[in-house]
Amino acid sequence: MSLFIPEAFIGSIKGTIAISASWLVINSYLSSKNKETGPVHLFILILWFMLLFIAGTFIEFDAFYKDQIRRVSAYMFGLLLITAIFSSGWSLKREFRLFYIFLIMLLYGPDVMSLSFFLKDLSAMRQNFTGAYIAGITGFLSGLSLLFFEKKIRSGLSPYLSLTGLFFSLSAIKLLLGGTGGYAELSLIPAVQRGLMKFFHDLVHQLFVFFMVPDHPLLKTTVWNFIGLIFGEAFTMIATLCILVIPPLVIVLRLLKRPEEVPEGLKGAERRKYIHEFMLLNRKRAFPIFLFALMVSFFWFFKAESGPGLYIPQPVPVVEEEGFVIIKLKEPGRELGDGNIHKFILRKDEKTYRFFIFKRPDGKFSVCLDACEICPPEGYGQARQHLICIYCNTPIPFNTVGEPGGCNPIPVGYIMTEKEIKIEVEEILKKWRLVHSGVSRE
Amino acid sequence: MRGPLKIDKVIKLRRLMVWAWLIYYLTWSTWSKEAFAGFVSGLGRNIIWQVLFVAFIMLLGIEMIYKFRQRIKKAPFFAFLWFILPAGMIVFLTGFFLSASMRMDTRILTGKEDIFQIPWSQKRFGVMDVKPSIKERFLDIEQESPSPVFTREPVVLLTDFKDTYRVGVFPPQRIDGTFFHILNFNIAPSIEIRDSSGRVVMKGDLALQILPAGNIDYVILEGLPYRITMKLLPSREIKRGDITAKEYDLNDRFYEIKVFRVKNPQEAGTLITEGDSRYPLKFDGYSLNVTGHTYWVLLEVVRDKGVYVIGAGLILVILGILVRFILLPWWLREIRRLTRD
Repeated sequence: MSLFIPEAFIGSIKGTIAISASWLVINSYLSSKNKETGPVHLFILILWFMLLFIAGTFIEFDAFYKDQIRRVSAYMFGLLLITAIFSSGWSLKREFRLFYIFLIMLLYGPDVMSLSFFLKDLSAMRQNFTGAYIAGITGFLSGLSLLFFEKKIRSGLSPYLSLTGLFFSLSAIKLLLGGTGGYAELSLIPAVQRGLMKFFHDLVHQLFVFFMVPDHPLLKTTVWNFIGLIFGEAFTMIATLCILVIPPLVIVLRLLKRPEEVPEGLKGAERRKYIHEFMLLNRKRAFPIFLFALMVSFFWFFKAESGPGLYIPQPVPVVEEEGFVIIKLKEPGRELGDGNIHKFILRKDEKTYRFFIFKRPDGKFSVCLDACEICPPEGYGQARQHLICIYCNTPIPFNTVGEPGGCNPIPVGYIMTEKEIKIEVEEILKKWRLVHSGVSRE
Repeated sequence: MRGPLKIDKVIKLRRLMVWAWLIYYLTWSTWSKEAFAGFVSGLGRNIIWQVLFVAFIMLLGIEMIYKFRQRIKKAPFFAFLWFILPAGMIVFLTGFFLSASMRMDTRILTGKEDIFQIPWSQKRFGVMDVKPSIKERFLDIEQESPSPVFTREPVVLLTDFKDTYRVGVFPPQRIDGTFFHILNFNIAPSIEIRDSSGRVVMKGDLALQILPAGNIDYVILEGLPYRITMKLLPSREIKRGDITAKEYDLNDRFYEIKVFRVKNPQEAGTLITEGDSRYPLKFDGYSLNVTGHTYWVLLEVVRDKGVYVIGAGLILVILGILVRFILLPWWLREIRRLTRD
């Protein structure tokens, strides 16, 4: 049995580096205002995260609460980024150190709880409690070692940080190191991508409604695919990247173009020196914001969901047994709970019915027809974070698979036992009548 | 708006409103699925949203006019070019507001020789004809219309009892300030059900989704405990080597019919009889006949004066963005020159 599980180490060091880096950035900012935080604040912070970690380890949270914690993490990033964009030109008359401590608590509280769930699951899966927690503690201590360089980092960083720069720096740290999926999701980028893509999708859809563009039941697949380019991943990825990157770049430009206000009486070399220092300060203040835009642009496509394309497995033929289709949870070469979509095909009365079984990230199994109520039944493919309707390209978030309506696959009732999933054939036939019926559009 | 202090307040308030909206949207979208749709419907119904939105457009307008006046003093030509984008945004937002708050829409399921009324104008329309614009004979391996755009490109001839109008799928037809277009279309078999004494107990056209051929659709008979499923049947099969294709003939169409007895509309029911539409189908003392067929269309009818404003705003925004990109180098040079001066 290994005494060190690398996944636990990586998950833990990533979280601790994020918290330490945020602490250092905040301290650098506050030191320029002569308001450094002290060991008491650090102690409060560590105590808070320890409490959350212990709570996550010893209290059993069900999938609903875990999902809420994941949402809070992404929400906190959104709040911070929006505030960063609008903080340009803000200056606070008084700085409250506790506000910043509270900010770190809120920003990384969900991440620490998620880390505790991850370590707990990992130790259970590997049946190696010691290895998981030794690696976790090692990662934690390694991440904390960043704090030894506090003085050096603080003096180097403080001239670069305005309030806006501080918020952008915290946003960058949160975005790049703030994932809640343990080792599987090391950054928040996929979650933010999903949110922004949904916004863009909704905006375009609303314009289609305004202009009465026909919906896809009457359009040819090729035409819909052409329209679908606007909803497609490549287009929305670039558009949403623009939403994320353009505001900081505008702030950078404004900072660099800010007109200098030279005090009266300064002339000659003194005036030139004043202007030079003014411009230098602006450039330094613009640097972290520019860095944020640069890092987001770089990691955006690196961490993009697109991957090699859709995973569309061949449907496996199944047969009816006394009115049921029975599918074993585990068979040689196939495990229904592996997070991949598993397609099946049932032939009855010279007709074929396709359906799939999918284990969602929240642990629930969904059995659905490989078709929806709106589109011709071309089925679904699996991307990294969505199922995608092959006909109209609509992304279906994993956790909504199994919910009826719209372009979601039509859910089918099933009975689950320890070893198998039983689906009533009549249920499949009954639900198949809804395919392409447009019921949810009426 | 003279003093810089006042315009500062306008800008601050406008920024605060955008910030607050973004926080609202973020919060709503994190814990609800349809945040944008919720916002649009709220804008249409909720007076608080409407007041805030109008106030925002006004603040934006004041800010843009102030900036425009400042720029026009320095470089009039560039000021006009600069103004295209913000003007477009204001026009777009105004259109968005008008559309969200004043748009009236309805969907009407209709067929040939029907008469319907638009709820907001009380105007009556008659359906003179439904032209399906699909091939009369087609194979299941190639069952689309000749249109390069639509799988089925139906056209409805409507009359308001004065003039005749041709309504297609896109673009919408404007009649008396109201837009019409076809949202969906399919075959409606006409059926007649008689009881054992020969009395007609039910008669009508069934709006089913049985195109593309091979689709099965059902209807639950009102007042009777039956679900009827129908499917278009091929008139013949053609074999070429290993490939078999089914040919459908819409002039001589017939259907596979199955009748299920149901206790409630949710259950699949029990199959009690099946057959095809060439012969009467007998069940529980009833006789079901397919007497003909027509086409049904689902019309989307919209009255929306804001849509032109939205369109104009979009054009201006796109133009403004293009202008800014094209003129960017020239612009920067000019700004530098003005700053030096």
